[in-house]
Amino acid sequence: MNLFHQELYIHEDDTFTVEFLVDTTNLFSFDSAWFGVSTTPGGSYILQKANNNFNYGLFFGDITPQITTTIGDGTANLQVTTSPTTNGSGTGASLDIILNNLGKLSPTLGNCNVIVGGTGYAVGDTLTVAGATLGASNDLEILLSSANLPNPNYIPAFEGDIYINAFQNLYPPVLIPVEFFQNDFSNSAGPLSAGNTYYWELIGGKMISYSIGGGYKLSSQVMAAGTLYVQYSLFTKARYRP
Amino acid sequence: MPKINQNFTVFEDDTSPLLFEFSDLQENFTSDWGVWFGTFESNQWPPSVTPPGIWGTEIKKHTAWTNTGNGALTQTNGSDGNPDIEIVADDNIIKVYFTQQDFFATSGVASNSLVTNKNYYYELVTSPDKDEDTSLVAASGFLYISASIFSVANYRPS
Repeated sequence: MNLFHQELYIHEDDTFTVEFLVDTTNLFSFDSAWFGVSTTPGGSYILQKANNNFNYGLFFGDITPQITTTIGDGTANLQVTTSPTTNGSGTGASLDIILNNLGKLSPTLGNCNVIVGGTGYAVGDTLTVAGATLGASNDLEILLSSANLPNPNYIPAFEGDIYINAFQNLYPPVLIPVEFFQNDFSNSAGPLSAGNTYYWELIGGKMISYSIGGGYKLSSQVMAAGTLYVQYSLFTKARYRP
Repeated sequence: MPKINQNFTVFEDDTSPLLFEFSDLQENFTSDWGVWFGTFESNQWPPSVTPPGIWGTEIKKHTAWTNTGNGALTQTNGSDGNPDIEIVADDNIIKVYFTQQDFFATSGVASNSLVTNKNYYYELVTSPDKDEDTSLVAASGFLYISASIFSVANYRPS
């Protein structure tokens, strides 16, 4: 059952956690959670909190079409899983590479699949696998295109202040803590001001496609919604919270 | 006993189920049953002013029916490829699943779909033998499509 028309009353500059016990099936700790606050119902957000499960880096799957420097003399039938280097700021991607029976890898020969997407990669970055890793005389180079990454506009920024605690594994409910800090409030240059009522939504999502062929697709649901009233704080007014 | 004037809110582009639980069935549902769910835009209750026959259905979801005025019906699916309505055999529950294709925000002008911030009258119709001859409006009411901060933020691509 979703939790709608929930009223939250908070004090300005408080550091606290709101915990939502949501009776939602099939939501795991590796799924997506997002909390957004707007000045109007269903309006543009002025504050958002998202976990890190919207962005898995490079799309999974066949990346051979983006090979720009091929392998022609590697070890025949070599299968290797390796982490490429990059000229950009991305880290953590992992490729599963299979050279063909002549030791070749190109957009039409052999296989090269992204099995771990890593983080921080961008369109235009070059991934490099050392030739020595493939028994070849030259390095493998792959130029990332927009086909390899989700549209960044679809991905909320990871702030590290919302989590999914699926404490019963498969079974509902799940606990979703949403953390608030002083920088969420106007006294610390944040968006929330005392004396105002805001509208909020809590979203749960499951990734249903994250691949080169299928693109990025998220199945999402408003699990809870309501109002948020920010009250003045005597403690703040007394200047105890600079 | 039909459940009338059952009102719900669904947020635009949500992937979510509506569960109808019937506590007064003489027997639980079986796989012989058929179910149909449809909506049209309206704020009127009871819907007596405008004859139902001229109402244009916005979205329809149904299991397989063997006989209706429009012939046999086949199971409809959501945008995730799974059945978007289910009558649970050996239980008293009917599940209606909403996926992004049901909403104007995703489907656009070309298709019948639910528009944000509007009210829709809905009907849930059942038949014990998938035949319109034995059909019954088992539940009806209003469905309100609420705007979503998450959608406005463009985090739900079509």
